[in-house]
Amino acid sequence: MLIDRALRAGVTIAAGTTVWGAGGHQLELAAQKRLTTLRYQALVVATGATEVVAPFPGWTLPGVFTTGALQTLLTEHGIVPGRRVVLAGAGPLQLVVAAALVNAGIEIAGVFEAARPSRFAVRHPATVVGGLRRHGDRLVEGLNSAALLMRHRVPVRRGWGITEAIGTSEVNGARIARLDHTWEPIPGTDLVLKCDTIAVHHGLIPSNDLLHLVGAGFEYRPALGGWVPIRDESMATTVRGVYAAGDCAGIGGAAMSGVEGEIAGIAAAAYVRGSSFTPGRELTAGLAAERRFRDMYGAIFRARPGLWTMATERTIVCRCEDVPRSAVSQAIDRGATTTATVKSLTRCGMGPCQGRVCWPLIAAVVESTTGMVQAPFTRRLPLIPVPIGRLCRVDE
Amino acid sequence: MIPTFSPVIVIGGGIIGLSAAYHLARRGVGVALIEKADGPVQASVRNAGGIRAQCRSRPERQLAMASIELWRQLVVDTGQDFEYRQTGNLRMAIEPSTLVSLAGEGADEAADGLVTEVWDAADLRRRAPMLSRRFAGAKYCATDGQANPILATWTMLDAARRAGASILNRTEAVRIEVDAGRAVAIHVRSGGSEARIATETVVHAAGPWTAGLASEIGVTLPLTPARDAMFVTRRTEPMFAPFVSSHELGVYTRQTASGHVHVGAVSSVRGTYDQTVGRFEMERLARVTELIPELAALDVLRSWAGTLDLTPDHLPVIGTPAALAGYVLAAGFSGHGFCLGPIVGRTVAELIVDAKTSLDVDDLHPDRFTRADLA
Repeated sequence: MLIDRALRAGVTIAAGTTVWGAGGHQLELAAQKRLTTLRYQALVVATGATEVVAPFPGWTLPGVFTTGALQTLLTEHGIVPGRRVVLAGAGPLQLVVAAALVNAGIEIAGVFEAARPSRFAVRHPATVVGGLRRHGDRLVEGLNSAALLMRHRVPVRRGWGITEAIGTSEVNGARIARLDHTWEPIPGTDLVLKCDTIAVHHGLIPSNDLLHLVGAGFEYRPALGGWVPIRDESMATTVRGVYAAGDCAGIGGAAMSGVEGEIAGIAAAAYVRGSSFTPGRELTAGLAAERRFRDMYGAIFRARPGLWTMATERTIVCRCEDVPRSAVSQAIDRGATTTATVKSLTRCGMGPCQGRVCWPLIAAVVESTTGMVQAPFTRRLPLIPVPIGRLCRVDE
Repeated sequence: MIPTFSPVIVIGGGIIGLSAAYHLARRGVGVALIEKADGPVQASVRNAGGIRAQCRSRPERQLAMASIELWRQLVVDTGQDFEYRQTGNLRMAIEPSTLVSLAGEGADEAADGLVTEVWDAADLRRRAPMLSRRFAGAKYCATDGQANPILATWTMLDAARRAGASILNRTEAVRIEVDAGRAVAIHVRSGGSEARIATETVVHAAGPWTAGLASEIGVTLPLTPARDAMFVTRRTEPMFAPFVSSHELGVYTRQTASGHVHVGAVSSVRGTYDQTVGRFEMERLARVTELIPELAALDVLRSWAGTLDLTPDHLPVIGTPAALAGYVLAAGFSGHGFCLGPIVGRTVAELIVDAKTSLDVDDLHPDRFTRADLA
């Protein structure tokens, strides 16, 4: 295991420790009971990704989970919160989790995938054949999952999505519908399935608050999940001594992250020693191959704009502050043309999650009215909630 | 659409500019306001929302008292709830000597018609039990209060627009055109193109950004930008009503209508437009636990900062420089602009329409700095 190799190599792993701030070549850390400060010469940021959920009517009901959360409950805690599950969204994670649920004896009402990978294959045969030739092994898990679901007669539908979670105090059904090529539900195609649990996963978005905080330069790359740090071939960001690797710098999956992490680690070590590092042919070739897979994956599964049309005016879009979609419309009617002004007027993004959930929707809505790509919400201290009492005594 | 002429042009869409546009429009004056962002985004919406008349220097006291009347009137005129509440304001004293000087200030305030009360330690324990026991006393002003600065500023924006003011967002003033000692036009940039708006009067109310454009037309304005940091906690049960501040601890706090606790610092970081809040500012704000110990358990969710425009005497600049006609300055509010916004807007409208003001603003004249230099 990679973790054993890291420990043998002398890496200190501070488990249960979160970065709540950064600045001036130091990280502010929050562990169990106290805050500490850690100075660094070089920093490798590998903070991964966050699941995206596009709000739809009923999505805040008890019984609606992200697919990733359901997977964590099942694999780490052995808990399945329901008896009959609907999975809906985009990406192969859905198949993997559905298969795991079937193995745990749970009934699956259906798996609904917004993307149509086969249609993509017809339009871009070279990309897909090339991708399969190099990465066929990676599809095995997905294919195994699909085969298991087929054996258990679990319906897997492509070009479909969820449009409503039905229930008053908890989920008792899911409304699903066919989606058009922008992933907008096609009126009149909806059906209601009985279920007590809904798993939703509309893909991943890079989780890179720390990179914003240290002042790294960013660029907008929708195919990589949105705003990603600008990097050179050694994974160096625009801030000297700060490197970014993996999904936090653009959604690309585990294998790509491994290669990027290796490059970033070697580059950071070279930086600390005062020498320079340019990745050799083997690393660059490996990275190029992984990135071709990433590009194919992104082209098929990246979120389409129709997703953001599912929320009705009454749908809550910011669950931290209980803000309905209508408040966003009103802010735009009042003249807001940026996500920052919408936040200011509606409180969207002011709660504990700091807009990690609601920003994509607000950005999509503002972009559709202004035609302008929206900057992320400004990141400031603290990155996670910190009790005031602990701020009084920070240990060096 | 950008007009080619407007009788009055206001530069700056914060609370001061919006209030000036509102009062001018209500008096039937044609007014266009230009704002470079897509709405109020700077200090007007980043401040603590305190609305108080107590503990002010004399030139500001009367203005603040009149502003409070206008804030109440704005609630009535618009029907909007921007969370304005007269919750009272408590200025704390740790040292007995501080309490003595607060009591002396209270006597001055009474002479101006402002009612305040001096509380001793026993009063504090009875009337504000959440406060730390370390205080010798406090001065309390029941008519002072607080509002949500974002909602209040946008309410002023809507009111100005409804009164007939033309609010031009995403429009930046790049140059003020002067002819024969008189401001005659503004050159603006909007959506990549430039335009000229001829005018009879320019109102310059762009906060710390006022000084740069003013200096190009020979108006020297000694403004120092300064970062003022704040943080806010999770929403919690109502814990305390008044706006509480301690100059000895260097912090102030209030609990909003929605239950969040806002904490700010009495002093700011001078000489910067940088709005990055650092760890040391967070630690300084955490001293609020010495004010209200129970706050220690609350999570800080967010921090932010606004940029103040400090003048050497910490008093605003309101008026027309002797050397430049058709030009009214309203800047340098040194952290007091939000509270004073309504009255300053009315005063600016009076300067333009009546050429005299109902409240005395002579001490706030822009030429006071140059006069002092000569002396």
